Amino acid sequence: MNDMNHLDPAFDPRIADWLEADPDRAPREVLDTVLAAMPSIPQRRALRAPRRVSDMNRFALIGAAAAIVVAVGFGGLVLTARGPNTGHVATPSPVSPSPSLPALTKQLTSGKYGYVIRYPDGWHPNLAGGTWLPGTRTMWGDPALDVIQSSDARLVAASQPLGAGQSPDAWYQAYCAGDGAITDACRAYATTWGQIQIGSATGFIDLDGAQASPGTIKPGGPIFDAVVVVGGRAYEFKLDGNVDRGLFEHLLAAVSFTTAKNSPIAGASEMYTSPLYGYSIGVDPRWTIKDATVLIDVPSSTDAQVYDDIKVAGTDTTIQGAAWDLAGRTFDQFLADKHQEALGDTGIPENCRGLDVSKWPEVPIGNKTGRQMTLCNYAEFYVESDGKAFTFVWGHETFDTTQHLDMNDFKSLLRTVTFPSS
Amino acid sequence: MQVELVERASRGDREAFTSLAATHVDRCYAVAYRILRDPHRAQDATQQALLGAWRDLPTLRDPERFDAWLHRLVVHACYTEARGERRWTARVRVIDFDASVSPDVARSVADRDELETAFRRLSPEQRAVVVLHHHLGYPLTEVAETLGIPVGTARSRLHYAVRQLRAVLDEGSTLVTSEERPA
Repeated sequence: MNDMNHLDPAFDPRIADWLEADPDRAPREVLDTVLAAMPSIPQRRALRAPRRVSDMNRFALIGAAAAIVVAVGFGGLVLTARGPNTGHVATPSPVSPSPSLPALTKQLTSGKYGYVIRYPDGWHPNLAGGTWLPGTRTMWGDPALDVIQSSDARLVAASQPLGAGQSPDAWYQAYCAGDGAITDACRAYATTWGQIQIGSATGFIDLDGAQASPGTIKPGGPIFDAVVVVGGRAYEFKLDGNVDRGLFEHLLAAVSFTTAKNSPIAGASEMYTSPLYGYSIGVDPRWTIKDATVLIDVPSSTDAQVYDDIKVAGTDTTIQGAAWDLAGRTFDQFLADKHQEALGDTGIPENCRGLDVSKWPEVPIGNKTGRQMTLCNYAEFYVESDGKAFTFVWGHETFDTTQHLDMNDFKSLLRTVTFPSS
Repeated sequence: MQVELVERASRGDREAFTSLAATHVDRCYAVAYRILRDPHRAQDATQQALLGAWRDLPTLRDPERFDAWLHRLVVHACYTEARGERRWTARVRVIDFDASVSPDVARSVADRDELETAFRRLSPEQRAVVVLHHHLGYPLTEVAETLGIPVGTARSRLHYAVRQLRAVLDEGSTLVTSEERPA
């Protein structure tokens, strides 16, 4: 700080102190994005007059002027054009579209998913809260999706690392198959899907104007879906609403790929099945898991015995799973009982004992809808299946919220849950 | 050393520009964040400014003015970002004043929130002047030069902005905390 400022009547140390508390370090992806984009951006020529104009003959002057015009014109062209060899691009200037396409004047950087995309003014971005897990499909409204939306159009995007040893070819086939087995049609994806340029990479378009289902922005309207594997990561982009293929291509051409910052659950590519309770949930093979040894309904059992404990590496969070036999109770009665237990638990701070059951949010758990009881930085999720109330706990070893597995990531894991068949 | 890097970068040396960008990215972000009050917009503005710097570096006549020139690009990128906003996002923050919290701490928390609100009411041009003067410590002449405005304009923007912020701080000094409230 300049000491002279203290003699300046317009200087106020309280304002300086307040500004001092703001962050001083840029997130790593800022520099990464700049350095990734730099090679594709030509430098401007300095348009300075030569010192000794008289030394140049008329033809040389005309030639120099023409060269400058060509250089500037070509520079402008390169700045806006994108092709397979333009590298990872995030230009500082808006992408100039053809007259019928909107200018892409805004930019979204998805650090978690490792890409930068440009979009038109008037569209609103919302970065994903959850994480797109390997082997799962994204759904509209899924918090694992980055969303950029206008009043009548929506672009969503996500990415995931390839599984250990998984080839791009295997990933495309698995993506095509979704939850089912890989069919001959999926094995032939490379010939049946069209190709589409996504930034500097060539991807595939597997939904090329397909009819949108009810609940989308424009039911019956077109949906476009494109995928590409770049740098060991698979990316998905979807567009629906009052849109067309030209807009989809326009948006995807302005994508550039950067280094993704994986969430702690990005490697949850395997399923853990509880030996005692029979449910399954996505896990990273590097996580530590301790199986429950005693059913939770057994009187005199202890917490240490009755829960499957799944310790999420890189966080202080342990996910616990168990299942109660409803034994004639309705699920609503069960929830009311759990609430009463929380209210009567003197170990829980009074202001953390949970809202009324009617206010517990609904949460997708596998293919069912469960309920969430939040007790400050601890939450229990309940879902009914086949006469049982399955319980999943989001609990932590510390009160440091920065160490917790993000709640949205936990909910992404809950979407992978499957229940034992009766 | 920096002058040499700037000269090399202006001739298209990517390695030199990488060094410059790595050196300046934090400072650029710090300025952008303070003006925009939003991490995502600050990231965008920083990226725009640094990429603009690479593109336009050959037009910088005096390499020794690189710092001020880059700050000018950052501020202008912030203007662009700010103009793109339809409205300032409302920030609702519930502060639970614990009875055990000292009045000084409560006062400080309240001050910060009031300042945040008041600062967001300023125009981006006013905010830029406040940040360059109060955070970077630039004297008014340098603020004016960096922003490409007359010194009188810089002074007037700073005067108005600081008056607004002081009004909030001074008015807040009579605020009572939960401890001081009559029963």
